[in-house]
Amino acid sequence: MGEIIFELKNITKYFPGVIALDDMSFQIRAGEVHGLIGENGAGKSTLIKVLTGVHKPDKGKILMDGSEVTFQGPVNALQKGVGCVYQELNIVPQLNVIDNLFIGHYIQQKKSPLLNYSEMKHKTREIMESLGADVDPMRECSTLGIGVQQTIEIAKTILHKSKLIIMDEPTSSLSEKEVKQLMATIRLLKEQNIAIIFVSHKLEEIFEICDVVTVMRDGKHVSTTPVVEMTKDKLIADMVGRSLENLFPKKSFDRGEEYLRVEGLTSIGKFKDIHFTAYGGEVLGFSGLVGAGRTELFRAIFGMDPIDKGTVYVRGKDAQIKNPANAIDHRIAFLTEDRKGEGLILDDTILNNVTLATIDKDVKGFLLDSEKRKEKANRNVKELKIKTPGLDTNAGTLSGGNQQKVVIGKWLNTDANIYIFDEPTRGIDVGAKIEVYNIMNSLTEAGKCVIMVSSELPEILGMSDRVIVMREGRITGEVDRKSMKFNSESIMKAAWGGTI
Amino acid sequence: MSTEVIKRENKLKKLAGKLGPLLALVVLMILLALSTGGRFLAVNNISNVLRQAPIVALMASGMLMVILTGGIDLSAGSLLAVSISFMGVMLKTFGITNPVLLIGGCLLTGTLFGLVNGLMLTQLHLPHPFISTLGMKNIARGLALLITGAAAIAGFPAPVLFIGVFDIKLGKFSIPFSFILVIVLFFLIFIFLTRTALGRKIYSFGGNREAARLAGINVNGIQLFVYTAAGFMFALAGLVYAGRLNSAVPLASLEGDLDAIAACIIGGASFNGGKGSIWGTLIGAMMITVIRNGCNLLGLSSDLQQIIIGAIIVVAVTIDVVRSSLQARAKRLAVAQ
Repeated sequence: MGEIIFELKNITKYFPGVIALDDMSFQIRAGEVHGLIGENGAGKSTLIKVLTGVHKPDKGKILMDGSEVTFQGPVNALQKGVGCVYQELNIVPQLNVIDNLFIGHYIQQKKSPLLNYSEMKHKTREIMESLGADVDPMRECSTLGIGVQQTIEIAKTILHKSKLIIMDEPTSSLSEKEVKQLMATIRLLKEQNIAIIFVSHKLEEIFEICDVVTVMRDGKHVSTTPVVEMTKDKLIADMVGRSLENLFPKKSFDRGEEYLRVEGLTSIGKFKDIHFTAYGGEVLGFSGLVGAGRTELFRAIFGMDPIDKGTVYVRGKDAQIKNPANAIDHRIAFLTEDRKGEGLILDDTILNNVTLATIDKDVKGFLLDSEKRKEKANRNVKELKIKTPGLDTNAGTLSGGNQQKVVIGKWLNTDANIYIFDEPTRGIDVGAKIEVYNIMNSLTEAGKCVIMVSSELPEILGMSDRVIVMREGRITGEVDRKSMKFNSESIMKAAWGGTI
Repeated sequence: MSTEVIKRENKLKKLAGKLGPLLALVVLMILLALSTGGRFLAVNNISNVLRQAPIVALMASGMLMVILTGGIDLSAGSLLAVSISFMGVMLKTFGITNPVLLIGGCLLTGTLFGLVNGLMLTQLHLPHPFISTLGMKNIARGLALLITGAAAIAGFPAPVLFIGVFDIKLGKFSIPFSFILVIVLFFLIFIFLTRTALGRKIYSFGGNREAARLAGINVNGIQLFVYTAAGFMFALAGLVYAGRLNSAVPLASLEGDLDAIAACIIGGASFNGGKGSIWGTLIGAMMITVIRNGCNLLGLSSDLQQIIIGAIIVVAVTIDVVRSSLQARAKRLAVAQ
């Protein structure tokens, strides 16, 4: 292992009402892939922002090659050798690869205001190839996959000769194949003696690619351990501060009445001829690869997108759902996969967010019944253990797990019978995941119907009573929890085009 | 620090944030009082200000509802003009003298044009209200000129002019009826926006349209409502306008849209939607009126007035930006202690 090139010493950072980083220290060596893991709200994002100069630490210092540095902002940090690939990519889709790579740092021709495109093109090809990506520099980025776009982001940091590259949940929106490519790219970077901080929620990835893993909890450093000495159980125990018997507290109940039946549902180009039935008291899992049409299917069932053919029956009756309001009237709830884009009003209070779907019911005469609304919201905060200073706090200031609980609270308030949970634990920490699973348990215990769309196979296997697999817009298999074939092999086979 | 104390401090800070624009207005008035040698505060000048404010204020209240949804209505001034022009045509061409019919005709015209603004978004799916209302701005203004033959129409019966001209006398001081109307209406709008389901839905729509739609809110209905209600408010402002000039002028309120937008923005409304208050808007409208009035008293030309109002818009928003970043910093430091 190489020299220590980067060191954080006793970094402390305060935010309104919380200590985001509490006396945090750790070291990074050249050529090391350093996993950084912790629950949401553990302080990972703040740490990244301190490392990239977005936030200035209130106490402590950052050492680079042994001497203290301060970063004025992301650009300054990049110039000093710290690059970052954010979860949300900063690619301008209308521009080509060269423009995206050199954006803000164009190479000019000598003694001329004109740009030197031939040199930039040459460099683009060179850097992209060094990262294992063979791509035409003139290609418009909107035509490239997310994986290649991410490689362009990595290339930006290489262009600035970064010694340390931070990758914030780099695999969260990648397909399996793209993840493999990213891993190969990371190995190439390692060979160039570049250090990498790899932030992830996926334990398998940490074990696959990292040399060392640092666990954070409540803004504090918990442990730094070579991965070869680490076990999954210990990692989880470090993260949540207690040992967990089981990541999936699954409880099974008797199957109840038929709640949702779908016959011949088709939306051209999205999904075709879908038939299934969902019952009370069970969790019906929908598995498949990203892009298999699962989200599209349930958006259509919920009335968000039009249906071309087929019928949706709710409790045996043709439901004729034309928009989300109809769906809610049929007591269907839809927890979107896009929490920030579609689930929450980030700049609005918890109170207004959790009462949004029931706003027409909480009225007294012409006016809103604020007592009733507060009572509901207080009950949500208490039952779902939402960590917040009060109901007036804006939803956008909460951690991912707490934000998700706010959205769940909104739907629990509608007293729905059918709960469609689309990627309910995406981007939330292990502790909050378990709480979401417990909510699913209490819903099925109360005889409600839960449909869970998930791309995480362990979650599908851990929580579903029955699993339906989709591939390219069609259902390719179904398997019951009691079946011998209820395992990842069968489901993966169906997802990749085989039969169960 | 206990949470109780933090909560109380947060409330105080919120209050301070709300009172900021009011304080700016008061400072501005003191400055004007000093620089005009007290003429600004003369009884009849104050009455004048109160008489000039309602047109901007009423238009701004309609504009606010639109801006709260993240939209904009560039047709405000044109809708005002077409509403009173139509009322003029009812009088002149059709000989209608019944004041109820005339007032009703004026308000209905504004409301219907507003509805069309909304329909262009919900039915024609135009990409942004900037486009639909820019089109409407030209169409409505052209119609106003066309139906009136580009001439002002006078001779309305007194009850039609009442809203614009009637003053309530209190000794030497006279309070224009139109200003009282503004206060009453603004109070009703305040209750509507903050205490009714539809009002909250308008804020929700502006905060995150997709989240609102997913929560079962009829987002098209919200859009139709705000543009229609705005059209009604513009027509109402038109009645005040017609009353004050004793005639329907097709070229009325050429820059009314921009004044209304400015009032909302000075009052703290966000162009992104979801943020803004009716009282802030009232202060914004007063600010614009007071500056115009003060400039007139000081004998400044209209060119200069325009420059000053432009500068105030930029300064007001800059102060708001600086204030919120300072507040965030103060909170961080308070925690660090």
